[in-house]
Amino acid sequence: MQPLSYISAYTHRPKSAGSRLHPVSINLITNFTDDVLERILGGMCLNEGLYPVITKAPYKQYGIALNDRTSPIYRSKPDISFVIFDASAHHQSEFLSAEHRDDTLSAINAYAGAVGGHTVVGLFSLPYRGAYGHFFSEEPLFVALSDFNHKIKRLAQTNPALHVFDANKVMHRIGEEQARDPRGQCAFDMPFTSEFLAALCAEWMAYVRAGLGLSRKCIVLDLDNTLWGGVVGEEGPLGVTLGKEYPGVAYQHFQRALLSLWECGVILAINSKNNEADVREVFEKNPHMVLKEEHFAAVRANWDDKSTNIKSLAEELNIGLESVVFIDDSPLERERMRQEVPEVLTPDWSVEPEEYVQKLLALNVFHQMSFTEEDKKKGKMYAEEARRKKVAKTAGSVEEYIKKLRIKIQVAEGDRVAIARASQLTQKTNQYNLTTKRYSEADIAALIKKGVLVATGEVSDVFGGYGIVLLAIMEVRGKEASLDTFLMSCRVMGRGVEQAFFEHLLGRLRTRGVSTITACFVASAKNKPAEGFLPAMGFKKTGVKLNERRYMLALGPVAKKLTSRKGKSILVLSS
Amino acid sequence: MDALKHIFSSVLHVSTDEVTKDLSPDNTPAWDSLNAIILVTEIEKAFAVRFTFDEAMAVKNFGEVVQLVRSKGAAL
Repeated sequence: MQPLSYISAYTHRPKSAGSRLHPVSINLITNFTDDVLERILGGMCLNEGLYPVITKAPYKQYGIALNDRTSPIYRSKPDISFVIFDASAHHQSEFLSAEHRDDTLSAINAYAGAVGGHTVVGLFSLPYRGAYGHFFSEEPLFVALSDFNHKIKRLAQTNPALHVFDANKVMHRIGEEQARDPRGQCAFDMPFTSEFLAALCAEWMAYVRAGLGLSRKCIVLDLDNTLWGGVVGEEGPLGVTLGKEYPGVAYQHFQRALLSLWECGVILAINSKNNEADVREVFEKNPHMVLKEEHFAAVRANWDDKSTNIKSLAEELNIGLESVVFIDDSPLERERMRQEVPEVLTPDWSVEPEEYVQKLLALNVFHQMSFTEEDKKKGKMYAEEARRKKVAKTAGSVEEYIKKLRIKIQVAEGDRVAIARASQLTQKTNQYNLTTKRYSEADIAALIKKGVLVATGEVSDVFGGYGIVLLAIMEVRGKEASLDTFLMSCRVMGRGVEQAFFEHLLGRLRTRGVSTITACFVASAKNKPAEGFLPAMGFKKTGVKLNERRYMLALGPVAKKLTSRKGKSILVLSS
Repeated sequence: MDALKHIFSSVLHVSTDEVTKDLSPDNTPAWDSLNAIILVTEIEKAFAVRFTFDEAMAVKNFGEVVQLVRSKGAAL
């Protein structure tokens, strides 16, 4: 899409989010005229079903706005703040002053810690030419900008709410000559072309998705002419185009790119019109396959409709269709998928195999705000899950299955090491989540500091670990506790761990003298699975307001036996 | 002509039907100096033409924009 289309979408945006659009509050802090930037960013949000409310620091007043806690950029309660400054060689940049740089850096750092949400700061893009040509890196502007870039990176290492974005990479992609608009700069202090701003916003959108928990988690792949060249049913497992020579090598590159996403925690699955035996043979016999069967969390190789397959894949993997990307070389299959399952992202894939890698990476939809140990282990966890499924098949009942797994929960309270993961759970968990409140790492750290009970549960069983998959946030005041957040990652759904975890917490509250707990269930489009949790734990409904159901539990001196508890055999340990 | 009207509609929060030869900064609140330069840039890009600053600033209404673009040899 052209920049003008985004500008148009934003100019003609509806007056309010309505029920269809997901609101997002964005702050924009720059040192140039940023109206076009605002409009393009807004248009991109609208294009993805988001309703942007963009608040800007007034022109040339970012220093005041960042420091004034009553300014509009604080009051807007941003989900995400984008900060980007520009300095060019002869524009007499304020950033030539070391004092100004340091003041601004500390203002940004304090702002990021106080304002909430995520703050994404762009590195200065370094000018291609200056008076010193390419001969001396001592040129004052070059030195000044490098100094800022270096320092902001250091700040981001210790401030979890602060993220650094390398705007040089966007400059690299567009080219400085196409990115800068000298007339715009001189006439209106608009130094960038709308092409550059659109490329910048396209990258920023990855942060918006990640910040709102809208990143995709799973890639579902076709096989013939997608993962390898040719048709395995005709050419056989060794006859397909795959290997060290072109074009086979292009498919290998694509497989390696998929593998690197898998190593970042993206789930892979197969959805292909083939005989399952043929597919298995390729995995077993073709030595050129980079991806092995173990990398795939689930496989559908059959002659069913692909949209039916993808729905059953999502169900098997316990993920929503809106976290799935479907890649298929056939325009017909793609069109049908878009018609039947519009929630799934089905990108255009009518390109040569050597373009596949760029196409995949340019999707920009898999990123997370933080990258935790859990993410790296996810691929392995799905392999363990396949083994669990075999046990489930032989077990007579759910209870027997749970018993065979010998599940353990390690509970920690106010664990600072778990802050990144706790924040990530609030960002990513949509299904088993009572209130769907999103917290940044800084928010979680602040809650712990305030004395709010932040309890995490790490679950493991005989086959391996699931990582930290349970989170409860509870405010305790004297005899009363209120449950702010209770969630469970979908990885461990259906095993009763949420009940065992909560019972353990009730025991802890009892020893602290708590006698009543209030809680609520805020219905969202996705959290139906969590609807029955509070009643199952003995909570009584006290009121309903719009999509919010309020509950209360009177905590007796002795634990009551829950009749419906699935996870009786679960061992809960606390550290 | 549709392409030119589309640019005005996109930038100025008016429908393409409202883009007539009499559309001007006086009757269109969004047509301020900032939007004027956005319009200039977008028109230049869409029609591969270039205006001088004086030319761009002398324009009084949409009708004059059409004339200016035509004077640069672009077909509308």
